Amino acid sequence: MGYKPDGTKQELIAAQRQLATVIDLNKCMGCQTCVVACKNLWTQREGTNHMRWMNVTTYPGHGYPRDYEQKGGGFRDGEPQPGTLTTLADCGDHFQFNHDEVLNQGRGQQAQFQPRTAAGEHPDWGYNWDEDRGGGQWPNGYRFYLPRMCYHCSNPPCVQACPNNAIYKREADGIVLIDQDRCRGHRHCVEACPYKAIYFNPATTTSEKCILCFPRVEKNLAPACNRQCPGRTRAFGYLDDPDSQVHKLVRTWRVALPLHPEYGTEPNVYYIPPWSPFAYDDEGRLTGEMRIPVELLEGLFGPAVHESLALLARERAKKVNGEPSELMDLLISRVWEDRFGGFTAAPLEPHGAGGKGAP
Amino acid sequence: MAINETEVLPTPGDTGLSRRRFLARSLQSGLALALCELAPGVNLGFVGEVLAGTRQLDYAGWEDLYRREWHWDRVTWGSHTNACSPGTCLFHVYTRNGLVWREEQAARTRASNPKYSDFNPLGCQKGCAFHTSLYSGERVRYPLKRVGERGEGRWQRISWDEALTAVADAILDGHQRGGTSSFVLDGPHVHAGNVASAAVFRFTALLNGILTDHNVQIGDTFVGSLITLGKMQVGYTPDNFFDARLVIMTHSNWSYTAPALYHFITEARYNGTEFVLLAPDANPTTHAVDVHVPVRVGTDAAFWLAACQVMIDEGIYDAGFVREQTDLPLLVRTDTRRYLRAAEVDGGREDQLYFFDTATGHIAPAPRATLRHGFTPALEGEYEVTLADGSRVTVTPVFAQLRRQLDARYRPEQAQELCGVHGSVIRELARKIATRRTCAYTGFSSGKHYHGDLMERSLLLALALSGNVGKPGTGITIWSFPADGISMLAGMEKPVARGGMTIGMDMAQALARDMLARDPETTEELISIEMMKLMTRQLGQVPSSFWMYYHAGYDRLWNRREWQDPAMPRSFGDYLDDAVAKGWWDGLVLPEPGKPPEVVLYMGNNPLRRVRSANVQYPQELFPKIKTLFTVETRMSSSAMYCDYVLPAAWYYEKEDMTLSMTASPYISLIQKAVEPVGEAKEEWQIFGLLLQKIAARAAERGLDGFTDRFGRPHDYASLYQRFSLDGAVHNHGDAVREMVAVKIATGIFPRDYSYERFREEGTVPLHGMGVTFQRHAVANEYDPDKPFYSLRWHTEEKVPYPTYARRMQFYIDHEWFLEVGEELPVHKDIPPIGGNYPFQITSGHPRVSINSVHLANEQLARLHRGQPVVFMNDGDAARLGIADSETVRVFNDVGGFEIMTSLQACVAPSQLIVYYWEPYQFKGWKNFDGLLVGLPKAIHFAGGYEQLRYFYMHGSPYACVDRGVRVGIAKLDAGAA
Repeated sequence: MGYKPDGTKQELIAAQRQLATVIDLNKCMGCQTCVVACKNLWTQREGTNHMRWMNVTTYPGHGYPRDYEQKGGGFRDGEPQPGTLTTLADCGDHFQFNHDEVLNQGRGQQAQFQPRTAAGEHPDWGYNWDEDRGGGQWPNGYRFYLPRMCYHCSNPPCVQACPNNAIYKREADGIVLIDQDRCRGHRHCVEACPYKAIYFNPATTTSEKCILCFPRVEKNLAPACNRQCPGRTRAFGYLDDPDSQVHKLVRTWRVALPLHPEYGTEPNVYYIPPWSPFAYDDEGRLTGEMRIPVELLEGLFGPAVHESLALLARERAKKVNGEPSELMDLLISRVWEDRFGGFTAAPLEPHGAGGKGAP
Repeated sequence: MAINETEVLPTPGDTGLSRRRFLARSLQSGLALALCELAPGVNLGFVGEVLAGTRQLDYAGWEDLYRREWHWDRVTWGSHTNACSPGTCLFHVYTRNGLVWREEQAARTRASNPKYSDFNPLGCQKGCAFHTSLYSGERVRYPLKRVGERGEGRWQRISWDEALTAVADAILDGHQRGGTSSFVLDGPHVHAGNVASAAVFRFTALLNGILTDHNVQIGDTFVGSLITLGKMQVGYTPDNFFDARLVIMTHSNWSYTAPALYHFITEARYNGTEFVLLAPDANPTTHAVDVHVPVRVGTDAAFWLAACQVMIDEGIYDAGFVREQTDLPLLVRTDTRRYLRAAEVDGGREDQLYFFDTATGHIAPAPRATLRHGFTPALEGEYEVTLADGSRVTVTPVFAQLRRQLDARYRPEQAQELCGVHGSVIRELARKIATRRTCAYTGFSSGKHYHGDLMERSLLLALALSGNVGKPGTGITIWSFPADGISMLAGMEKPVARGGMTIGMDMAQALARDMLARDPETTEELISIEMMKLMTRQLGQVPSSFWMYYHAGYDRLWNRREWQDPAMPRSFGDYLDDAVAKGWWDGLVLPEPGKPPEVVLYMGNNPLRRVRSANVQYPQELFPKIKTLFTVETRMSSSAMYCDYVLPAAWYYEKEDMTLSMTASPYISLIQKAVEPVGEAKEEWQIFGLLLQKIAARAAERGLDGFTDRFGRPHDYASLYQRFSLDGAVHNHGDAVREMVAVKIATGIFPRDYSYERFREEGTVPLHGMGVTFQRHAVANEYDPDKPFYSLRWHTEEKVPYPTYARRMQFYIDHEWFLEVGEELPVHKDIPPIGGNYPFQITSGHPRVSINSVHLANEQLARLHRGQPVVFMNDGDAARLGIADSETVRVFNDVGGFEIMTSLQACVAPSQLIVYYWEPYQFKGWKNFDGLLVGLPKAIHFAGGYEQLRYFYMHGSPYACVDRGVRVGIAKLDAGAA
């Protein structure tokens, strides 16, 4: 059974299995490798340059697209919520640089290498503009990095909002796709998505978003953001596969949590909530409290974050005391490939004319 | 019709409910138009018609649109040499239509054994974006000749022949007028590549030119470690963290500088290892640790010394380790503060030192040939000794003196005043260090601190007192790599297969015989070091401080007495002159004062970025003295802008090369040629070969036969290329990689049964051994690929002496200069007010998305942040000064000033300003922050005549890049000084 544009919305969101990603925020270092990996595969085409289907920003911060949490969409108590569109600036723009002016035009020290917005201005905002700023107060400043992407929701508001039935979940794996032939660029999906994970392509006048690297997944290879993450933050696989780390972390241990569960979209990217270093009191003594206020994490991951953090702390304490912990071993994942739920093919195919090897 | 849509009220049970309601509410919200405007012709009324026309089609076929993106003509192996440390990451490189489109980590590493994590996927954002550098606007594509002023960026494209002729003539002119020292290769970084590095070293050696030492220039030398251990190339593999129970990260920020290895922190942490970060700011790695210890800028030594005080005071130090492995039981005279020496006791050796044996109640010579001894040497007390001349002196163990000093100056409550860390935090950590397997990670910042040596000595003292050396899960990591591939390829006269390595081996054996005759108790490690000292002088490798001081006008900056340690009684220049006069730097003061070189070559080197204050000093003081500046470069750096000739070099994926292996990442990876070089770029081996051929041709045309080297030996020009090619065997990068593989097999870095063909098949090789040169002794442990690696085991288990004067880990340095400034033992000293009297201290380091300046102008990576320089500043400080985030401000000191955008945060310490690396041309008027930094070296590092106070290539000498804690002010653009 494939995608049937004439189907009901219920049929368009039906999926027999669901692929899921778990991102460990204790392991994420904000290096942006996932962003680069994604961009080099999917958003170097005309009209896609401003898009970061995969993005990482510092939390607390404005996030990406800018202030997405204030732009509405999603559901509240089952009711769809109004949303607003994102602008090119919200989406981080696509800075232009003046190599030739600085290096080749004989202007010497009069020329300065610097970014310009797509509109030719000095930028006052851009992708990851508030990198590393974070929150708190010295000496208890804190930050963590929040990688985001399309959540391939089980209750995707984008599918519901599309006036053209151009958005659907793939039946076999639950990947949410926007049919580029059917999409007419109305962008109701952008408004409906509370995570603002959908971007408008002005060249094709269609909306585009993360496709969970389905051409890779079809070749048994984990998405680029997951496989290329040097921090080994990502687990990937089918949620119903009891051998997959995503199943164990989400279903068995219930330690990986959705972002903003109150949006009601049943997202399929889950997060291990972050620890932070111990805070100091006014005298400079260590308090034993973590620097990130738990209320802040509750605002992101809902009340379940308390239980998740407590479980993580208990299991780590076992390891500190020299006792075994299955959960900690799962999060360590000594064998990197174990993270990917069997999606472990080598990223070589298809072999081209020369095949692997020297020219 | 769009309006009609909003009027359709949903009915219960309608599956279109949600869609319609979204649509309705969206439209009510006014359809805020994005900059991505709807294309003309799209109108919402079209919706219904489209729906009507497509009922029966299966549209999933459109998915091929994206599937077609995942298609390649060819996949090859790639890496990026050692732009960073470790930098040995293996990638798949994907080519389509003759261009590289992307790369992805090959992930072909393994765990040392199943108890530890593997190294996969191994590769970061820089590696994954590298192909975009190949086609970036900064790329040099054709030979260029400067036709405007230096630095103006006015170029004329010329042919290779024209460029080679011009450079060859300049080098020959230099030989004619100023001898061979007229040619200087100014310290290349290995990011140019291993083959490229070997080629340029070989080229320079054949011309008997001078090579300035980039490693000491950039402060990647660890003087405190050299003083204490007699060496610095020690290291562990990062899986060693799993064997530690406590890891203290200092001078480092792995989230920026070691993203490929960062997971070893987080995973060891999950495994129960506690992590502590010692840093002034809550840097971006703070998120991965349990405790962040916010020492004030430059006060690490106070923290460590207080930890030592606690360990000794509470009696929780490892007395057995201290007695066996360190100099702390050695006896020092109370009158002279010098060690008690056999020369004065019984006319024996000057360097024979003593214990006081508590069993016999007499002094006993401390063994020099082994650390093993049957004594229980005293650690406390004062003893009377009769000297050979009949006089009686009082001696006391170093330990007793140390304890008194710690008790007097470094109790935790006293240290709190110095470093700002609460005494209770120091006590708790000291107890943990003393009772747990602890290792320290020592990043590359201590060599950028004026008193970085004191920080390292204090840290090592804490590890020694706690016995955390030479065992799994302990120690320090600096950096350590067997560089035999580069050094042999740079120096062999013929290939390995024809006995190329035997000359070096013969030299080493002759040296060993000579040294053993003079001191039967010398060690293999000391011989290997002496060999390096010999080679350093043979090859004209010289410390950078002399070069900068004599030729680049740094005397103007460095002789300002008010900026140096107030305990030093003489000026920087006086120390330098004194050291030279004493002969401690014989053969190394090149090019001679007053005789600047005629030709300077830059390759893999952007001194205007990396050398502190060079963007002021070089254009004003150095460049006017140089007749010809030329560069072999891949990208137009700020420094290349000042060159007279820019020769375009092939970059990674455009030539064959291979990586070095560091213990931090114990793999060696192959870089294949995936595509042709852009424009007319050429491989470096080929460029230097062509240049030597051109020199020979021009010499013949000019009637010049040859030249005489610094040692009086004659050479002819005609044979230069034959010698360069290892007697006709190596003509290009492909040949060179094959030869380098042969070297690595011969030296045991690769397994004995390895081959070039297997390397091509597998792409990466786990490090197999530490080679045959001094590095092997420096790490002092066998490399076993099936275990986490740690250093110094030969000392702790085999009882092999350290290569220091005392033959032990040496904390007491009785060199006259050290005694004079009160640094015979590790102490804390505040950073002197370099830069002037200003309230802020600047700190720096590698940025997140660039290795040095290599990726700073890469568009893709620059779009991952603000794309321009920023200064990170404490938000409270900013509020006080009325400075806002993203505001452009002025930062200044006595040397100069620059403009920069702010980023405010609570994670930066009050009074601290952080600016990571940027290209000068990214600043207004090219006034970059490095310009303010001075780089003032610590003058007593010119000390010599004392075993470990020695220089050889990449090791020791005053590092000329002190910048951490330089004083600056900051102000709004329209305001006065802060």
